[in-house]
Amino acid sequence: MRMRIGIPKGLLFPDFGGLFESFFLELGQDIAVSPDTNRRILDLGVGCCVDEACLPVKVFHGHVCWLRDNGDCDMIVIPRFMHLRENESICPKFCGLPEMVKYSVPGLPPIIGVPIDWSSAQGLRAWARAVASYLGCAKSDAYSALHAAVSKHNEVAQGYTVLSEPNRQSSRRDGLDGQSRATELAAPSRLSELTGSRKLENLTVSSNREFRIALLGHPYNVQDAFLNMNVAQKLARLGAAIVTDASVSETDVNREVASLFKKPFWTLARYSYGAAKHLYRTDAVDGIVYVSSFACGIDSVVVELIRDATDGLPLLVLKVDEHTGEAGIDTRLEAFTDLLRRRKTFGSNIPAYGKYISRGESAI
Amino acid sequence: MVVTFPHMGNIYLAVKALFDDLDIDYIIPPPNTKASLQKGSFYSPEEICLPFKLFMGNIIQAIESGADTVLITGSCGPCRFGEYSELASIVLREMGHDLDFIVLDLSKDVGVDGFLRRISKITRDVPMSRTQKVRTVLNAAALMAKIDQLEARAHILAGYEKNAGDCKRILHQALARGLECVGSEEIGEAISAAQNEIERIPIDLEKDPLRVAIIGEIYTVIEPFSNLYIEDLFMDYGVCVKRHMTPSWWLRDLVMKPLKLNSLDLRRSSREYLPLYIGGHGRECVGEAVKAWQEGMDGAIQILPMGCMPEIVAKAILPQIQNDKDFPILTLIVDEMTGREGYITRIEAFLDMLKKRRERYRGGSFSTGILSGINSKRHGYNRSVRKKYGEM
Repeated sequence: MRMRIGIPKGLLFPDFGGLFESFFLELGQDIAVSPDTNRRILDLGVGCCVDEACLPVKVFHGHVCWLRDNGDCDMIVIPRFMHLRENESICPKFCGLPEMVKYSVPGLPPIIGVPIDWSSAQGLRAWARAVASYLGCAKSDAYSALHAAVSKHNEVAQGYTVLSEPNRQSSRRDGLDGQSRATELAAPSRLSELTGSRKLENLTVSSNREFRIALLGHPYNVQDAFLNMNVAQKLARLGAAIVTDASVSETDVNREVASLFKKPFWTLARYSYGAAKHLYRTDAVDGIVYVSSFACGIDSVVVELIRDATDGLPLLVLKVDEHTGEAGIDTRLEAFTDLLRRRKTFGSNIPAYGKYISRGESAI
Repeated sequence: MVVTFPHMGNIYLAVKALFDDLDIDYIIPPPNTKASLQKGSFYSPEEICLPFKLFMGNIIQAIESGADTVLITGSCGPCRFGEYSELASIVLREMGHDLDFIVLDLSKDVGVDGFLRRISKITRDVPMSRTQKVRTVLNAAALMAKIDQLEARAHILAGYEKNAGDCKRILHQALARGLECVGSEEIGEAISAAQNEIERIPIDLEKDPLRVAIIGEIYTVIEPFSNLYIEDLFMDYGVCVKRHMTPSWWLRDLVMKPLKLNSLDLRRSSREYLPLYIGGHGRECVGEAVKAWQEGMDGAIQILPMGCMPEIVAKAILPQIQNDKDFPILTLIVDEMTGREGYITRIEAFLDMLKKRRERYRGGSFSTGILSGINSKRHGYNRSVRKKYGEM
């Protein structure tokens, strides 16, 4: 039976949405995708989501509401990402996302909330198998659909150097080690290399830019232009070249996080931290803008770690929630770029209050 | 080496017994107060959860009294608790303290070897055989269980006591006496004495007190300061309180986890609503809510620190349980800004509502009060209440 599967365009959709789309199309189903985040979707989400959740989760609820109202879907897929890398996780809300949505949004069609373990080929296969049995498709169809979807996913993502498993320096995953198996199902492992920034790409031409700014944060905050009020465009207009964590290789990230007292267990935070530290140490950026959603548990820790690791590098933490006013964001970005400009002109060791920190004497 | 450790409910007594028996120098941080919270939140990142702020307050106060080694437990996410040691060491380094952190962590990354190596950092200078050391640890664990039993018993009996305040007095006296004793044996005797005493207090079995379950995030339900002494409050009100989360439950859960035999009851009760572990104690919270309903409690109160990720997931699920089972659940969110009066008003209103519900079901009348008609016809009512008071 041909069914219409709804795919909400929230959270990690920019990275994995294409995969879901082609997987369900290959399986012979119809798909419906919600539009880019807009005011209405945000309002829908805020209206039904649990109050304490962070903005991206509320936006995700909004996308599900939109699909319920306009998508004419028989089922909605709510990705439940358990792991993106081995022994690491994203955030507890990702693990409980299907339940959150199910019990918050009234009048939903059935939900596909099968856990996805992205860290291994078996995990992906198990996901495909479970989804197929849910839809009443054959196991073999599911495998071939997954295979096609993954290869397509890698092809599309080639713009930002997706590495299939054999090329990875840190290939430790069982089941993906062998060349033959890896070509059969090359699970892209480095998330940020995918997250990269198709949209941001044209902004990153650095030659004639005044300064370089690292735009960091969870990918769903950095990439959703509505949610972060188009911070990338704004920075570009203010004369900044933008660097994301996609520009830092896995090896560099691994090296940087190795210095931590404890191995970090949040995949996305790991990339933010590793990228920030690497860009700081290689002197590749003049400042960091960190987009964070209000009450994000992970950012409350990671921002502190970044602040500690990038001593003296200007860091602007932009908190966004459903009440954020655009004018406030503009002011802060302008002030930040002013600060960077002044540092370039007057040297970085003169703080705004006019004293040399190191020497304790007046600078004026 | 002077070891210190953060507070969480009554674990300080068990840890004290352990260090007394092992003859290790230690400092118990002063009990949580507004001052320690202020100190802790001053040095903590703004958006971190309340347990971390209290934890920092404890550690800083202990350092001021001369501690140089911090013993804490760890985890490997996805809850923030796993990053406490990392964050605390950064903050303390910036403050100019050089401390040794011993993180007791039973995760896959660390392994049993790593775990034993970390323990041996503390115990290597203790002139005891390995068996003796293990016995000491088991003694401390047994003591913890005993304290938890006493506490649970006091919280139940407080609903039935004839002389108001008996249970509370006995419990707090026992804890205070325990702090003056040395070693697990002495403390154990003090607790046993209190256990005997509490069984002899005059009881009025005619009373039919409200019974409320406390569920939610493990630190905020166990540490009385963080939940504004909600259990003492209930003892004053003469309401029976049941709390599933205790330090000894946590210990049992930790030990049984590698065998996948931990908290089977909660797994069963949470399966309908949240079939997966999402980190922290989110699944446990959902399971406890269902279990409280099964046990015929009148209602449940979920307590969580502001921004707690797993509990937010649980909070999204609880309204569904509330509607499905017609089982009232109140959520209280605490942080360093929580005001006592607003908090108590909400608890009192909740208890009033529970009382009214009982009257309504008992009398079979839906006609009076603002509560009439809400949910009652559509969802039926609490199964256990129906059993207890007969069909209307």
